[in-house]
Amino acid sequence: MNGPMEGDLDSVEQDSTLHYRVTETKQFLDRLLPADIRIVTAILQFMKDENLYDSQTQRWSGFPVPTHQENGFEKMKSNDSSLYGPFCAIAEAIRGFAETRARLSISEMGTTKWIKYHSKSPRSTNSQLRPGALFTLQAIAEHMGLNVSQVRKWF
Amino acid sequence: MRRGGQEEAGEEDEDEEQVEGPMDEKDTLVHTFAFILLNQLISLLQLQRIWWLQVVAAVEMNRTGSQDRLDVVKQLKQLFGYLRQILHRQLDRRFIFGLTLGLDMMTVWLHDRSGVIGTKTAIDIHKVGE
Repeated sequence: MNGPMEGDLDSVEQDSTLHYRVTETKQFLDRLLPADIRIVTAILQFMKDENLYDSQTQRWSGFPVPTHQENGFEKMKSNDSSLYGPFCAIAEAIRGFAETRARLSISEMGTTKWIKYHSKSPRSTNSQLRPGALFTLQAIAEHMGLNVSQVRKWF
Repeated sequence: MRRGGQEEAGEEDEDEEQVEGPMDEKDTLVHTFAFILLNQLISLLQLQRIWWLQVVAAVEMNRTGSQDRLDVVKQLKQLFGYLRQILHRQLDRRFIFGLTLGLDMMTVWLHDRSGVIGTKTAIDIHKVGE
């Protein structure tokens, strides 16, 4: 099983119909995930310097290029796993730069980490969810003995 | 004969002690090595165990990049399932972010206790300035 538990399927169905809203993309990002344009520019420049973003092709390096079949939206057995590695590598590079040099996102929630998670499930009693990747708090991920109360909640 | 025998026995004991010494060291080395390996294994297992508390955002990836409505809805439902489970498992959590990602496009979602809200249009992740 690579999705929600049986009992949650109805709720998920409701989420995707009754409790589902969309809003203007720019407004959504500006309000919920605001970012200083100077930091964004600095991150992009760092990515270019590190050859993680290819200015020639204007694509992220290592990211799979759509094939003809995929461009044509033809049904095919896709290999989603080819996305996990490049995505996490790029996301981790951005996170590392933002947390170590920009120093803006580290104060509230502590150090974080992007991890591939497609073959594992978060610890639980009976759930077996396997999202492609997770953005997690690094502190607990790497020091399981840390008291939960020591981690400042931000959500 | 008895004395000689005792002497011989004593020599055998000494020999055994000399032999036992290196074997102990070897055993100790093996035990130490096994202990280190076990500790590393435990550390790896601990790293793999993720608490719901740790999750900041979940990503659902789909390589096909299909814009077909049914495929998009299927991918969204998959993501909503993850987000709902995270909220379900952690009762004091108020919200969780989620992303759907294809080869070029990405959408961002916020799931809270009242429902889901997301970006109306997908974002081209390769386009500078997006």
